[in-house]
Amino acid sequence: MRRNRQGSVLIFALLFTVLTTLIGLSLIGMKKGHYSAAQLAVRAEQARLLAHAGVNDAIAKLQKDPFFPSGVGDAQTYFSYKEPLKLGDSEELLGYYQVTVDQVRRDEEGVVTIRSVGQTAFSGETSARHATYVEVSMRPGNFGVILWKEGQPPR
Amino acid sequence: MKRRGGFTIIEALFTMVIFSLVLSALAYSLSMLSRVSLARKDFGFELEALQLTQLIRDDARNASQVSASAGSLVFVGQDGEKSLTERLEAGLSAPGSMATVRYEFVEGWLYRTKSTDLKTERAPVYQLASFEVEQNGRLAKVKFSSEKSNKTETFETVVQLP
Repeated sequence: MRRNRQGSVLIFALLFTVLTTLIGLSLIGMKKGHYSAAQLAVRAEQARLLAHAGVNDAIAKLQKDPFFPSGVGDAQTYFSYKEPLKLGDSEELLGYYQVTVDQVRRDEEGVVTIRSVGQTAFSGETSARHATYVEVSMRPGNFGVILWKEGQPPR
Repeated sequence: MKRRGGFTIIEALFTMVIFSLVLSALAYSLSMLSRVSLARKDFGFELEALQLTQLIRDDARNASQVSASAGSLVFVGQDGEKSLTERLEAGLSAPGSMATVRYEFVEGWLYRTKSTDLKTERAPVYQLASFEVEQNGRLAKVKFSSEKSNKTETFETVVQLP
């Protein structure tokens, strides 16, 4: 009987090792998932801020130049531009914003709509996108945002 | 005669080495996990504060009228659920085009209530330890604190009012 039990501790130790490794790996996998979700939340927030930067850029341009985005006498009503954003003086690209200015209702109603899409640009990582829709009153003496909506324009 | 017990000295040493390796690997994994957990807790906390700030600022941007008191903020502005065409037809400042958003701090919860002429929606936003509003001209200082894992953190943000 004693001969048959030889090495049983070693087998038990090996089984225990396999079991604890499996438990440890699954725990690490769970935490890794949580960590990735937290990182994605940061990307989403950065995309949102990029979209806001685009909106603020368009509002500043509208405020400074009464003819922005068209030239004098230009009949074009729909404009789009895209600008990259870099971190300080470095060449590191933070992301882009794409702004679309629609001034179909500018002459009649005095309202210009702006749609800005922000997108993060990190190499090797998942990028995030966020859209912001804004209506701006262009009426004389009443310049300002009348509606600010995150996501798609209201239907 | 050499093997008296269930296993030899070499087997015992081998088992001890495996055990020590497993224990050190577990200790290392646990230390890493606790670091990640702590980082995530702190980070999650700040993210919630940022989201709440964004939410209040978005409502403030839409507002054409505001009233602030110690524990509440009320914004009246365009109803973002209605299209521009519908609102222009009704008249931009007509009651059908406007929505009222009210923030209230009640029994540890911050509630956001949105009312239009058709419906009223009230929902808890975050569980907070405190929520205070201090109006100073066209600026409102919003202070709020949150308590998690026996740790209280206070955040302060300035909101531009119409």
